[in-house]
This record gives sequence, structure tokens and C-alpha cells, in this order.
Amino acid sequence: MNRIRRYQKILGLAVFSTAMALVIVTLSRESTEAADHRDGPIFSNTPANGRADINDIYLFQAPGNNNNTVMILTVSPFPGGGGGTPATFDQSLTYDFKVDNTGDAVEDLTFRVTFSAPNAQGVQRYTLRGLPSSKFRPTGILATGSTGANVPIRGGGLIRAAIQDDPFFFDGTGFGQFIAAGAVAFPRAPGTAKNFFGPDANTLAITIEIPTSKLRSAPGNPNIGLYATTSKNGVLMDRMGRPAINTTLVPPVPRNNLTLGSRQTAFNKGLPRNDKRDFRANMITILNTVYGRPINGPFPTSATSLADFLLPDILTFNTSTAFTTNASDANGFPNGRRMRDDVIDLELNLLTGGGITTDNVGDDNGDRISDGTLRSNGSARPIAFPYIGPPNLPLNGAGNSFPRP
Amino acid sequence: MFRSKRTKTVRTRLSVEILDSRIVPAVITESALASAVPAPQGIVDGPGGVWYTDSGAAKIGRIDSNGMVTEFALSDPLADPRGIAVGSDGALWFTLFGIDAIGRLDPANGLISQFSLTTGTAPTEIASGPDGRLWYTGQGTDEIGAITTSGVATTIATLSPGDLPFGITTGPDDRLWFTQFGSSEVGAITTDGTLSEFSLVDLLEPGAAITTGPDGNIWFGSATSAFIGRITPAGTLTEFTGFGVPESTVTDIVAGPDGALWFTQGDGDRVGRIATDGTVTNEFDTTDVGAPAAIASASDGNLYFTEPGTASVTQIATTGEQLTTQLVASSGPTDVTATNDGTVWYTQADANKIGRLTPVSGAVIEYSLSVPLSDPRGITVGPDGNIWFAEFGSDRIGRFTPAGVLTEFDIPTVGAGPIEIVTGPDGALWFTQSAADQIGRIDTTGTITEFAVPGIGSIPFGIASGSDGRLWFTQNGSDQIGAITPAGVVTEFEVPGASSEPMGIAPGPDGALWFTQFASSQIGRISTDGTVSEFATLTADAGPREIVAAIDGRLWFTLETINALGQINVMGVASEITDGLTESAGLSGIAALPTGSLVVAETTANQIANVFVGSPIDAASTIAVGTDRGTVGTVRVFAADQTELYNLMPFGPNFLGGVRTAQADFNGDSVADLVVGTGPGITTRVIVFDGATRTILFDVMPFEPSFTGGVYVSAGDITGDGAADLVVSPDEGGGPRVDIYTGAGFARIGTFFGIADPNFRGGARTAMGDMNGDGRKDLGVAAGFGGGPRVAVFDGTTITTADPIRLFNDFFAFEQTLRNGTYIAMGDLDGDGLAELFMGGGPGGGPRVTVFSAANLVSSGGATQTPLANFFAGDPNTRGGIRLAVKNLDGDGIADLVVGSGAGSGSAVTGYLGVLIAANAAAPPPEFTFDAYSDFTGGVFVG
Repeated sequence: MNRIRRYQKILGLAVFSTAMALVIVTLSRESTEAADHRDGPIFSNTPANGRADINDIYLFQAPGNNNNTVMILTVSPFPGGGGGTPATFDQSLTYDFKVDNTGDAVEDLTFRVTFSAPNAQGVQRYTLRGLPSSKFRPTGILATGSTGANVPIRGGGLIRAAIQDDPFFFDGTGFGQFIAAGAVAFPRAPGTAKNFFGPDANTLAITIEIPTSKLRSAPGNPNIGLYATTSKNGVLMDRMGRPAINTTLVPPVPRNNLTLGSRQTAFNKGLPRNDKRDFRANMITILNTVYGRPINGPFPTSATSLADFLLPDILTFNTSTAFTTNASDANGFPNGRRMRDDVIDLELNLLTGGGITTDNVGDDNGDRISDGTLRSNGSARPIAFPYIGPPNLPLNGAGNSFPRP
Repeated sequence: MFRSKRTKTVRTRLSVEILDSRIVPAVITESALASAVPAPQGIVDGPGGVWYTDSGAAKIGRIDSNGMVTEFALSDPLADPRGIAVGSDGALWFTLFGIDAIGRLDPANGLISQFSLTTGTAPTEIASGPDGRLWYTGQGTDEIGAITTSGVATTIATLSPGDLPFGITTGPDDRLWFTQFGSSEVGAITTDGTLSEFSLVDLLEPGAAITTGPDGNIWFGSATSAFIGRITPAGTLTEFTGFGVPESTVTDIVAGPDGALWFTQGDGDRVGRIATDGTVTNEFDTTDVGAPAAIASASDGNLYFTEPGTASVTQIATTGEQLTTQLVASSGPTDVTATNDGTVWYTQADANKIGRLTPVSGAVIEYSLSVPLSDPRGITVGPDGNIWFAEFGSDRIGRFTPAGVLTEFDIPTVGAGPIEIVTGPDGALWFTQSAADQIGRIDTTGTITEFAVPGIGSIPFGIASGSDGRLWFTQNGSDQIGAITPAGVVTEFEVPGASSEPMGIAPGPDGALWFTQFASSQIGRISTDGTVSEFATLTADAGPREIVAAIDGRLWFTLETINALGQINVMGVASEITDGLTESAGLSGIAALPTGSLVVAETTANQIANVFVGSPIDAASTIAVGTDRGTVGTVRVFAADQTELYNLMPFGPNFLGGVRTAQADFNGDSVADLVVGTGPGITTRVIVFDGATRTILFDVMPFEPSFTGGVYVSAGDITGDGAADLVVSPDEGGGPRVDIYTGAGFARIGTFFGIADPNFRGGARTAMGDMNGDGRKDLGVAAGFGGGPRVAVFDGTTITTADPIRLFNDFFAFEQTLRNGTYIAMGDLDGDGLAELFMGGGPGGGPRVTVFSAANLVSSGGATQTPLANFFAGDPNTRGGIRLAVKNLDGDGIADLVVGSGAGSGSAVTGYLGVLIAANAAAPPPEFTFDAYSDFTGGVFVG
């Protein structure tokens, strides 16, 4: 608990707003790791496990409604396209949003979404449960509805589960070449660097907008942490807090260095509360040997301070933070995460101590994201739930085909 | 009994009329569950897994090889269990530091015994000695003690004051070796008490850590620094330092499975390995602030250590890989059920546990489910005697045997959200799938079948087995009630009004299903043909949640929002109870115990409430029929189904004067006892027969020997002491006198004139019932033959005083000009909890029955006589009047009526159900009628 409090103090210095950086990684043949896409050996591009692969989570105050908080889980890269996965949610999986509102890295609230098999039109029935149900009285059932539609949540809010535009942007191919053996320069030059995810790639997404009061432990404690999991038969398949933790900081990094073993699957099956115990030492080693951070020293220069900041892997957010239209201001990542936040640039900058400041790919979502931000001409975009963009059609079009640029 | 320190007992007197001779106030007892944060301390490898003491939550726990946690609650929250060892008897033995006792837990049945030590002993660590005894250190009394497996404790050695003996272990030399924190010594003692002590060179303070190493030496650690010592049995000391953080302690040490020793460093959050040559070969970080305490080597090849700081027990392989079992504070009982032996099982959605409470002993065993967020909800006892429950979060159905063996069955539909479960008529369990709009069926072997419920978001919630062989369920999302046949055919019925959110459902005594409507704050009733009626809760927005039928014939339900219990009878009359309940208790599930008590889950207060509901006894349903004058005085006693239970000629074969009857339970055996009184012709006599054995409990000639006019009798608990009392009044020729005999000892405790005119010589007839709702029966007195149909009712709390007080002014039940007196009975017909006056025409009149509202009589001082029913209970042309008695024929808590033919009018006995009288006030259909004496037509008395 003091852990979280400590972070926020540090964040208060606003060191991060400019200095933060990020990460990502990748590799392999037809696919690329990204924020959390393809973050482990089990997530090859197969219709099986690929559907359990979490892409990203987003967490921000609802644009236009400061009483609500929005949580988005994107999963299953390039569904219905070249990713090899169908454009539907896997009915054998359990999708969880886990909220820690007491700062002890243990979830206090879980929003659990499960799906039926798709009908002939590809529509799935799904249910949102609040767990433990004793905290979501009287029934524990928060919403029931069909994919592709906005569904009201009991007690306030909306949920939507559907295929959507993937808002993430990152030169996955370039980074993949970089991290494969650490032998290729990064970033690629402007013009050569390409957004692996767009502008017209798709993802499955579950978007929940809910009154912030329902997420807080007490009205006076605005701080929450979020991580998401997919699980099957009660067994964790993937989990994610901050973007690109597993892809950039969990062995092997680079991918051809197996000195520390291959621990990406162990990370995906781990729990945040055990992260420091189980992954801190590995992370310090990688930050030191791969990213060149000194072992000891003040935050954010040292490997130790970075590891202690990044673990446990939970996306923390002060829910009283206003949603602002400037995607690069201090109101966003690492305080929650908005869809336009350039988390990769921030994280790469942080991990490398300013050595890499950008992947030369920026927000290309334009009007796809209906979040009220300003266009280049100064006019405001509309604000409309679910904020994330509609899917790019056809599903197997260029934006979802391989190889990626 | 329940733990006194955590139990709150509040007695609540309910304004509930119980249709019977016994009035019992409802008593709510709340049994708190341990809710403290776990802080595991000691640990040992034992039968069935690794056992630990939990000083924080006062429990003994076990983690089995599947990671399942079973917790056994100690009765005293301050017990503070510390060290734990396996005794030579195979049981777990542990010190209870906080209460100066040694505890023993039998792993076969979970029973815990406690053996007290001298006050102030402060027993700390414990080890199984070579002599079969358990040896312990007493820090408070500086002693080494031993206790036999039968619980006899002996102080073996008393050390110097301040030595503070701490850790203890059995050495390779069959001596017990122990550390002395206060004197920086290591001691050794033979089983016959010969003591040796060895001083540490550096005056390091050895703590709890001491063990026998694989090298045949004794190893121990310092409670103040990173120091490990080794001492040979001969006393040669070696010290090892230079590992870990210098000032970090060595909290515990144990021989590992790998030929080395393993130790914890509590304030360093580390576990280390030290080889027998003193080299620390590995140190592993453990969870931050876990503060590893005790460590044990287990038969599975791993080591286990407790982490009191993070409430966890962690397995560590010799490679350092760690697997943590998180202990969770008990909290949030959600639903309850009870087995035939009265054991209460409950789900804890929040803590992810199933609990088992034995009310008599207060013993609590809790089982943690292995998958987090399984969120167990509904729970019931299956036809196989096992406990079945719905895992809302993990989409499984769980089953516990009474002994605590868990099996879980995956529901085929991921996202089923099973929420409530009940036994169906087909011997299978049926459950609602709230998140998948399906009903599931699971047979006792675990085979699951699923049936769709129409619509998306109908949220099937509560489920109950109906009297029609179907399963009935609420649809919380679609405001419907569904019924499904065992073959899976679903029929749906609309609940009127939008957003009523039906939740709990239970079968009522009337054959209908009763359900709660959370959002519209109503109680609904649906007959098996689908007819719905609704009754608003007395308090608006009360949040009715779960519902169950109780043996008082009423439906009881939890009112979550207003923190009350509600009850409603089959007429729809409700009341609400708050006294005795913890504020903001979070009332949720409710279930009936086999004793008739109710148990209620209090989710927020983390308690199980026991609600003792007054129960009608069997007497109320049996019918005693006595002959009128003109034949040998005989009594036949019938069950409610009109089968004869027994018969008697109570006054011998020569008595032809008629037998007046009443029934109530005088001796507390729950069997109605029989009261008979003589009619005219001989000296008056009253006998009470034991209804079970027909032996005589009481035999009295109540009035002067010269009076031969006969008596009337009534019976019931009018003194409120739980035993029936007897009231005797003279028949014609006597004064309107009323004598009251206590059922406890049959002393006469009251006598007065029930009709204001002591010169009246028509006698009197009596009945009992609570008319003013104070929980005590009142006494109704009606004039006998020759008087007007006058009625007086006396406050039951005053009838043993010299001047009993009337509840209201006397009135005439029928035309004042009649001179036949009137027969009388009392019972609640309209379900308001107040006993109505049932008046029957006296001899010479027709068989007219009129029922007067108690509420209106009491509130108006007798001025307002509102007939709730008025009808002829037989041929209106007969002129024998009508004898009557109130019964509980159908168990629904509404007064039923039995009448007997008046003088010279036959021997018919006719029964009317109260609900039908209320619904057909002018001509209720008889439920049954039969001739009690086929060859006799002189009339009968019923009681």
C-alpha cells in the first residue's frame, strides 16, 4: 500500500509527463509484440490461444462526464483478419477487469465478462458480473446483453463488447527487429517506421463506463489500480497492467538471450502481489544489461528504482484526474492511460534513460476515437461512448493483413 | 453454546399469535464468525497436509496437497496459538499463548480440546518428545513442561527467572533442547528432568529457532541478528554469521529435504539455506513485509513457511521457487442451509469460503475454495446428505461431504453464473444460471444438464421446488416467475409492474410459491396455476431478499435495505422485526433448521443469526371428540386426517353424563395431552391424560362434592411459562366461576367470577387466545346455559390476580334475548396476529358461528363488533347449538375450526379451514365432516 502511495508522490513531481517512456517488443515472423500483444510464447497466431491474448488496457475519466470512469480491455489482435483468430470472443474464456482500490496489489473488485457462442450472425450474448458479489448487491449481475450494442449497467453506466478499431500505435516491426537480438538499430527512421496497428487494424474490445464512486474504496480515496486477465478453466492465460511490461522487461530480453530463462508465460500467469518477489531481480538485470540503467541510484535513473516503480504490474490511476484534450499532458499515462497517450514513446524514454525517445510513430487515430479532443484545425471531435473507434471493414482488409509494414 | 464474547443475545417478543397452547417469544441469537486478519505463525507437516497456527484469526489451519485450506476456529479469539507439533497420538498439538493452555485438534473430526496450564505460563513452542508427551516452553513461568496425550500437564523444570525459554526441539540424544531468549543459553533436558544449560559466547539472544540438523547436531538462530549457532550433543558450540542483513533475525530453522538446513529471516523477508558446514548457500527474497516466521519441511519435498505480515503460507522448493497460499479473513456469509443434525453450512461470497457451524458447540470449520473469486452463493442439503452450492464466480457447482471432502463440477456453459440451488422432485439438484439465462440440473453423481430460459437478461435467480412437481424460479431481470418440469419444459408468468426484481422464492404451506420482489419491495405469491398476488412490505423500499417457510405456517424473509426480518402469513398479513439484529447486518440468506428455528446470514456483520420461531405443537391439529349425555362417556381422539389415534372412557363405563374435552401439551413432550371434564350427573371431575401414554397427569374434583352440574374445560399456556395450563368452569347450576391451574405442578393459581353476576347459575365456558397482541394468551369467558350470549375477555397477564382486568367491555355475541349462553373458541382468522373470538350458538339455538375481529374489539373497547364470518355450521334447523374448537389443521398459521353437533343433533364433526372461512364468510365449504359416533346422536363436544 505504501508502495502505491510512494509512486503517486513521485508522479506528482511531473517527472514523468515528459520523461516517461515505454516499451515494446517484438519479434517473430508474422506477428509483433506490442503493448501486451503477443507477449509470450503461448500467444502465437493461432485461433486457440491468440484469442486469450490481451492487447491493451485503457483507464481514464469519461470525456464529458467527470463522475464516470472508463475501462477498456482490448484482446485478440487482428480478429477476423490476418491474425488467425475469429472476430468473436472466445466463449471458453473469462475476461476480468481487476480493480485494486486499497493499494495492496490485490484486487478488491473484479468485473467479469463471459460470452455465449456466436449465433449465425456472429452476435454473442454476454454477461457482466461484479465479484465478489457481496460487493455488488443484490444480485452480482451488472449487465446482460449482446455484442455490438451498448448495454446499460445496473446502477449506472454502459458496457459494450464488440470488434473495434485498435487504437494502439507503435512501430512493432521495427521494435521486433530490435529486440530479437539487440543487433538492429531502433527506432527506424521517420517514414520507414510504421504503425503496426493501424491506422486501420482491429481488435476485440470490452468497454466499461461506470460511476467512479463504484470503483473507489471510499469517497475520499480517488486512487485505484487496474489490471486485466484472461483465464480458462480457472487458469490464468494472460494479464496486463501497464503497457509493454512483459514484452520489454521479462526474460528473455533480447529474445536470443536465455541466460535468465524464458519467463514470459510465468509472468502472464503471475499475480501482481507476487511481482516484486518473482520478477524484480530479473527486471533489474535487464534494465541494467539491456537498457543500460545503473543498478542503484535515484528514480528514474536506476534499474532498481525503475523496477520498484513498475512492479507490481498494475495501471494506477487517480480517478479525480480530469480527461483533458491534450494527449501529451500529465493527466494521462502513467496516470491511467488514454487511447491517444503515446505510451511507447514515454516508456522507451524511461527505460533507456532518454536513449530512445520515440519510435517515430504517433497517434494516427484521428476521428476514430470519439473523445472530444481537438482536430488539427482546432475543432472538437464528438464525444460518444464507447470512445474507441468502429471496426475497419472488411475485417480481412489491408489493415488486418500480414505481413505488416 | 455460542462463544460468549462474540455473541449477542437479544430477546424479542413478537406480536405473533401462535395457534396453540404454547406461546413462545421469538429469540434472535447472533453467532459471530471470526473476522480478524489471519496471521499464521507456527507450521508443521501433519496428517493430510501442512498445518499452521493462526494467531491473528485464532484458528488452526491445514493446507492440503491441492492447495485447499481448511480452518478450524478456536473458541476464544484471544487464544493466540503459536507453536504446533504432531503428537504421538496423531493429533495436532499447539500452544495457546494468550490463554495459557495447550490445544489438541483431532484431524479425523476437527474436534478441538483445550487443556489449561497455570495462569501466566505463556506457552510458546511445542515439540513431540521421545516419551510420547508433548513438551512446551513456558515463557511466562520460565518453565519446561510436558503434557501427555490425555491432557495431563506437568512442569518438568523451572529455570531461573527471566530465562524466557522459547524454541524447543527433540534432540538426537532424546533430550529436549531449547533456547533461552532471556539468558542467552541453550538448554537440554532429559525426559526425567535432568537439565543442562550452555551459554552462548556472544550473548546472542536465541529465539524460537531450534532444530535437530541432519548432521546430528542441534541448530539454532538468534532473535536479534543474522546468526546461526550449532551445538553438538556434547555441548560444543560453533557460530555462523556473515549472511543476510546483519541485524536481521533468524526467525526459525529446520532441516530441509536436501541435507541442509533452511531458515527464515522475518525482518529481512528472506528464506535461506545453510549447509551443515555453516555455509549459507542460498538466500531467497520473499514477499515484502511478509515477515517469514516458522518454517517446516514437508513430505512433498518442499518447505513451507508462514508469513504473518501478508497473511500467507508459502511453499518454497529447494530451487527457491515459491507458491503462496493467501489466507483470507472470514467474512460475508451469503446463504445458509442446515443439515438434519442441525449443523449450519454457509457460503462466504466475499471470502471465497464455505463454513460449517455446529450451533450447539459453536464449533466452526471453514473451507477455502481453491479458485479465487469462486464466489459461492446458494447452498442446500442434497438428497444424498451432501452440501451442494453454486459458485457464482467460477461457474461450477460444489459439493462437500459432511466430513468436508470437496468436489467441484464444471458447468458446461462458461459464464453460467450459478446463483441458487435446490433439490428437485427427481432427486437431482436444480440451480439457476443467472448470467446465462439457463436452468441447470445436476444429479448427485455430478452430471449436468442445462435448459434455456427464453430471453436475454432474464437473470434466473431464486429457485424452489413446487407442490406441482415443477421447479419454480424468479427471473430477476425480466420480472417473471418461471416454472420448469423435470423434463425441462419452461413456462413463464409475468409479475405485474415493471422493475420488481423478484429474488428469493420458497414453497408456502398453502401449496403456492412465495417470492420476494427486491425493487418493488413486495412479497409475491404465485399459485401453481400461475395466479399472482402481491403484498407490499410494511416499510417501503425494504429490500426483501430471501424467503423461507417456517413451522409457524408463515413465510419469513430478509429485508436487506431496512435491516429487518419480515414475516407474512398465507392471508398476506405481514409484520417486521428489527429488535435483536445488529445494525446494518446485511441480511441475506435465510433457512429453516430441523428444529423449526431459522438461520439468517448477515453478510456485513459477518454473523449467523439464529431466530427461534415459536412452533405450534402437534396438539393443535388433533381433535378430541367427547360424547354428550345419554351414552357411556367416551372420548375419541383423531388426527387432522380424521384417523383415530386412541379412545378412552375416562370416567368409567357407568358414567352417562357427557364428556367435555380440551387438548394441550402439559408435559412438554410435544404431544397433545387430553383434558376431560364431566358433564352433569356426578361430582365434578377433571382428568388430564398424557397424550402419548394415556397415563394420568392430573386428576381433580374441582368444585364442592355436592355440585353435580358438570364442568367445561379449556387448556393452553396462559401463564407464558411454556407449559399448558388448565382452566375449569362450572356448567349449569354453578356460578360463573373460573379456576386456573398451572400446568407446572397443577396448583390452582387463580379463581374469579368470569361473568359479572356471581348469582348467575348458568355456569361458564372458556377459551384462550392472545387478543391484544402482547404475546400472552388472554382468557375468554362466555355465559353458560340460561344466560344471554354474553362474552367477557380478561387480560391473560392479570388472571391470577384477585381482580382480573377486562380487555374491553363485555358484549353479546348473539341476540341479547337468547337465553342459551354461547360456546366459545379463540384463534387468529385474519392473520393479524390477534386471536379472534369464535362464538357458537348455545343449546336450544341453531348451529350459528360468528367470528369477531379481535383488532376491532380491542381497539374500540368492545364497542365495535365486526363479524369476520357468520354462518351455520350444519343444518340450520337443528336446535342443539354448536360446539367449537380452534385447530391448526393445515399448518398455515391461520385458525381452522372444528365443530361438533349440539345436544341431540347427531355426532357429526366438521372441519373448516381458516383460509376458506375468511374467503367465504357466509358459507365456508367444509374441509371434512364425519360421524364420530355412528350409533349415537345425542351431540358431541370437541376440543
